[in-house]
Amino acid sequence: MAVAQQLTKKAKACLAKKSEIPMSPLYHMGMAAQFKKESHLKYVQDALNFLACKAQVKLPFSEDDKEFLVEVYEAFWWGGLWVGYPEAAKLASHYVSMEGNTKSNPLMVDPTIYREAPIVIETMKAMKRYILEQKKNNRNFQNIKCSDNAFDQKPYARKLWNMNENTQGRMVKDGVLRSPQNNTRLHRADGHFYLNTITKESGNSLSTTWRIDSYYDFEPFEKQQYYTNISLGAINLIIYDGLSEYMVRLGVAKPFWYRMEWKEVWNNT
Amino acid sequence: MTKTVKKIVSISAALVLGLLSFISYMYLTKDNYIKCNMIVPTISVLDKKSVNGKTYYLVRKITGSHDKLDELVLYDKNPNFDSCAQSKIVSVYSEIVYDTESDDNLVVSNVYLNSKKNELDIKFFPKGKGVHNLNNLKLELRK
Repeated sequence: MAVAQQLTKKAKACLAKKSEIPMSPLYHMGMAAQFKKESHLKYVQDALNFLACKAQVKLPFSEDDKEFLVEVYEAFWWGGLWVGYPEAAKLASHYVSMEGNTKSNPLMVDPTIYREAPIVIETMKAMKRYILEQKKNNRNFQNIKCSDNAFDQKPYARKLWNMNENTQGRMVKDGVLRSPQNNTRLHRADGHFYLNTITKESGNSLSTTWRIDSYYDFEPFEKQQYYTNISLGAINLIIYDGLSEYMVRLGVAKPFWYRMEWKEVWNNT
Repeated sequence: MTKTVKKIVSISAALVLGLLSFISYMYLTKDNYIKCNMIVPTISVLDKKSVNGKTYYLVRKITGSHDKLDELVLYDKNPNFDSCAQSKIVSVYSEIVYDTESDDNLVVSNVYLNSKKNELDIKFFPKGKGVHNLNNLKLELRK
């Protein structure tokens, strides 16, 4: 009874904060980003706060509420393209496309921004050295992950831990690779990721497929209270991870797997 | 209003805004605000402690969009973050304590300052124990 009363109280408090749902979030976010119109951003933020509150107490969402959330994500697609983050734009709009790609049928994303990041270049060098060592010792060299403990412990892999996290990115806990913080385009698409390899021998060469598999989803309110600050001009728009996750329960978004992949043929010596 | 009409209004608004932005870009040469990266990290200064003439700052930094990394960062000078959550001071130590893509996250129980090594000694509750509330953490000194 006490729990039910508490929920009713929270729901009433939520409804007291009721805010109008803007018809075109793209327009308001654009006005905030380009012309520093804080009132436009506040209009969108108030609606997001209200919907986040509703999601936390599981109040029903209207069709307009759902449509607004989808349009916010679609606005990221426009905004992402506008400011030069096509990968992030593609991921955000795919979330609301409801395709929900599985790991065996992931959404393919252009790997260029990953391949050119210093942390990936250095990890590839270290992994190639490890692949050759494994092959020489007749051990598995066909499938290697940057998170493999035996690889992480190699002296040439340890230096990946000491790279500059702002300009180069670095290896962190559990062998995960962290995007350079200053590389906003990559950081926006993937804050951290694992590099995997599939290597085949052909004559004197090795053919390696470099692969990054990631999952696009968000933490629910029940687990964490994380949010993302999206810089729009002089102020930030706060997008609650829990609300993004709740969109899946509302049937307007679906988590999905995405993959970046490239091939390299290199010398077997 | 139907979905199609709403879409037309949205796209028209974007086009008008694009045109206005282009005009403003052509005529405005200087912005009076700092331009941040598109995603601004969430920064909280949790505690500070003075030891041997140095003041250490314990900072919580959350980065990423759908894949969040939550870390504790140690500075031996005041980081003075700007409105983009950037600091010109280089941190002396950092450790990730929660990764949304990992299933092995533990809850932090205590954060000790090792001023000799300029490091943090972070202690965790056993698996499945404790309540995740990093904002209440304090920088502790070993007795």
